[in-house]
Amino acid sequence: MTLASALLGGLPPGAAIALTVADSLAGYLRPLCLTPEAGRTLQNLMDTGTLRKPLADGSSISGGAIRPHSIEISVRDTGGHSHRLALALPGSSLSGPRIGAGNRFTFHLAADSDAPSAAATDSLLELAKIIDEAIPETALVRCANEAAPRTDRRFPVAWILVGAILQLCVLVAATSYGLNAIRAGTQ
Amino acid sequence: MGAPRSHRATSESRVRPSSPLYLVALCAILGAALLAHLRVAGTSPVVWMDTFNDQVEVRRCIEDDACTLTGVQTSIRGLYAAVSWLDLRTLAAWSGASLDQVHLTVILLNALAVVLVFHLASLLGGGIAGSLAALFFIARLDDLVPMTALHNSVLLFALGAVLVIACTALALRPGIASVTLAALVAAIMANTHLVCLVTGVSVVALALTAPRHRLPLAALGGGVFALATIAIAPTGWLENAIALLQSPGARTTATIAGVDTSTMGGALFGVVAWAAALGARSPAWKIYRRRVDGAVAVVAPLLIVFLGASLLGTPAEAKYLFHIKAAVALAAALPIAAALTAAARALGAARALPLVEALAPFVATIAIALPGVALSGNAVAAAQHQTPTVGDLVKTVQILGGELGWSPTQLLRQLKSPSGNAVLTGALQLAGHQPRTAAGDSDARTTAFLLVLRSSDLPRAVPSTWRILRRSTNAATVLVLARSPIDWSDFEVCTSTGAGAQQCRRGEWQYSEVTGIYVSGMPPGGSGWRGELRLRLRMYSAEKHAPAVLFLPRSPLECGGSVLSASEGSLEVDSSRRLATLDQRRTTAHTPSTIEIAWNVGSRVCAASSYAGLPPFFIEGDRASVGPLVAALRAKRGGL
Repeated sequence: MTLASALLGGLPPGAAIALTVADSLAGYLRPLCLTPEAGRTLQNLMDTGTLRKPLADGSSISGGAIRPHSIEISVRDTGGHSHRLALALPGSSLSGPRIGAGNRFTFHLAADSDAPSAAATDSLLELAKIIDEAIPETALVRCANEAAPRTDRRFPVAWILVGAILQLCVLVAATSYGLNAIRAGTQ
Repeated sequence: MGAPRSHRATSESRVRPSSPLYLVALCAILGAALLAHLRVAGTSPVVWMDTFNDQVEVRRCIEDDACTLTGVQTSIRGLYAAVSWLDLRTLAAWSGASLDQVHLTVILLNALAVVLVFHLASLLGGGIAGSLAALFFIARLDDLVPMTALHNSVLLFALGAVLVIACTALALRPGIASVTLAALVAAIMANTHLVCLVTGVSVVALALTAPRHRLPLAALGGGVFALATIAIAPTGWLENAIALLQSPGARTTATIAGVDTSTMGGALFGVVAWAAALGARSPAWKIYRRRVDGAVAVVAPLLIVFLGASLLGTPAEAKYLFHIKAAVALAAALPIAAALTAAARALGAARALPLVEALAPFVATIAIALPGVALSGNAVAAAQHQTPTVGDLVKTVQILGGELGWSPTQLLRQLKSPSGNAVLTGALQLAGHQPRTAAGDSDARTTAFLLVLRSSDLPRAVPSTWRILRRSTNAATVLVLARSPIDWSDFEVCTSTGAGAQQCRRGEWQYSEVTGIYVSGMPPGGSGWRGELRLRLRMYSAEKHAPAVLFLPRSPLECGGSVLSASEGSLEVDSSRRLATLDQRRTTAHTPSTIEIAWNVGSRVCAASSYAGLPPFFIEGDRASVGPLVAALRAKRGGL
């Protein structure tokens, strides 16, 4: 939610600002995840032949995968080269060169993909835009905590172990000090 | 209610912690508390979704060096907690402790907590107060939270004891050290369970009652509590703040698990007794009040929130009282002991008091060790004792995965238990990897049933397809391997609600880190979905299987269904529609290719809360293997 849309929605300025900040922080903490609806949308695009339209003659879609925070499409051209296009949601840890961006996704070529020609890159971009526009809002949810990708804020185990030991020390100290103080206080 | 009559009356009742008899009493109470806890919780925790969800985080932290400071989602959607619990679980796992060992460590800590509460109450009010407090503390131990399972709430028993010590020290000796330590303990508790946020109020309130430097001490207590709470779980509290800002009031808590009258009654009694002493001016009353201030400060804020929530119609679960159990025990025991002492003096039995004070701990020890004190025996607790343990599951995975070579996909499809989701999640974790699409799985015709039966329900001649995994005088965990008439790799799921038309899809078992276990086409569990759920199950052709039985059990905590298919050919469905038999030998007629079973989710026999998004539990298999199981379940009390 943007500040403008919140204000236009009739919210008081204070609430609109609070909500906008909250949304931004939520995005910072928990990236978006794709739901099975994304898979159904992609299947529909395949079934109706929509995804074949931007491809050059002889090229074909050889595979696809829906991951929690990305969509991957493999395209094989007439020369037998394989190009893997990845549409990544914000917060995804996908590597590979970025070739563009849409409303919801950034478009990448997978790191192990064959380098496409300029014409092939245009086709892939067109393909990516079709998918980007077709995926509905309802196919995206904030990732559940346990499902969050690696970009979910994570901390090293050493941090946790030190924290746990400190907490144990506090509990032991509070018990020991407390009992001594109580003993002295009841004398 | 009686009360201490003089300063002398209270100070005389002090114990001598270094006396040999007192040390013996401490050891005796520890032994009895350990025995009581083991009797209630067992040596291995029961399979429980929270345990396995926590374990995912612990493993990810250790194996991937990627640890959460957000915590896990609470029963209040969108709110996160339990980072301190996860920290301690991680430390234990990193040290090499198994789930069973962590469970036993918690039991030991909780038993030590009973000793601490006894010692604290003895210091404050003498041996009678200590003995009463220990008894009150451990009484009906599993009434509030399931102590048989390993989850964050079970640690609150011990943490509550530490908090009441820290708060009592703050009340008696207000200062920088006592307020800081109390605030830190409260912060750890707030990061163990969300409800313990209220403990911060207790610390600040106590600091405000200090005879000097009230405001600086309150500011220090509040500041330390806030800083430490956020420092332990910075992303978690940020997440919670965002969730509350985004949709305040849009959350609901889980259903009420029952109201615990003993803790609530004890809490009210303790607070009322303390309040009654407010008007008294005698030194004895003042001493009593000061000594019980810490416990009352822990009890009162939560009691106000709890009763306020109840009055406003917001569900307030009894489990939220668990962390104040130690404080309640203290707040209730001290005035009762004081009244008893005063009554003894009034009756001229003052000389006998030292002997009674010395003997009371041993009487308490015997009482604690008695089975009826710690065990509540309520329906939920009883059901917990009929749930397989993690130890049972380890053996199950060893048999199915190790001996029979089942793949994780087979575990998912072919392992059945009334505790389905938790058992499957745990089994997949123990199997060590996610299921892959099975290609040529062997033994696809076998279904394994993991159940806890009463020992008396075990058949005299145990079938060769049964494995007894664990047996005690009361219960036995069995793993029954049956030849299945149902092809679990191919079935159809149909759903319909009151308004909508029936929708059918091919059912497929799925597992991912994002979703956990689910079956495609089935409405998700825990969402409150209501409607009719039908499974159209494909049957293997008749000549391939021996006489088979299909039985749909009923119990208050499970989703009961009925067979929709009519008797046809070799399939015979009885009038209750809960039992179907398939016997090709009785007739030359054909065997139907499918059988249809329905569950009316949200009905009297299938509460919406009992539906977990997976096919509800039922028995099916060759008669020789599952026949005795069906007989045992039909004989079971509780309506199965």
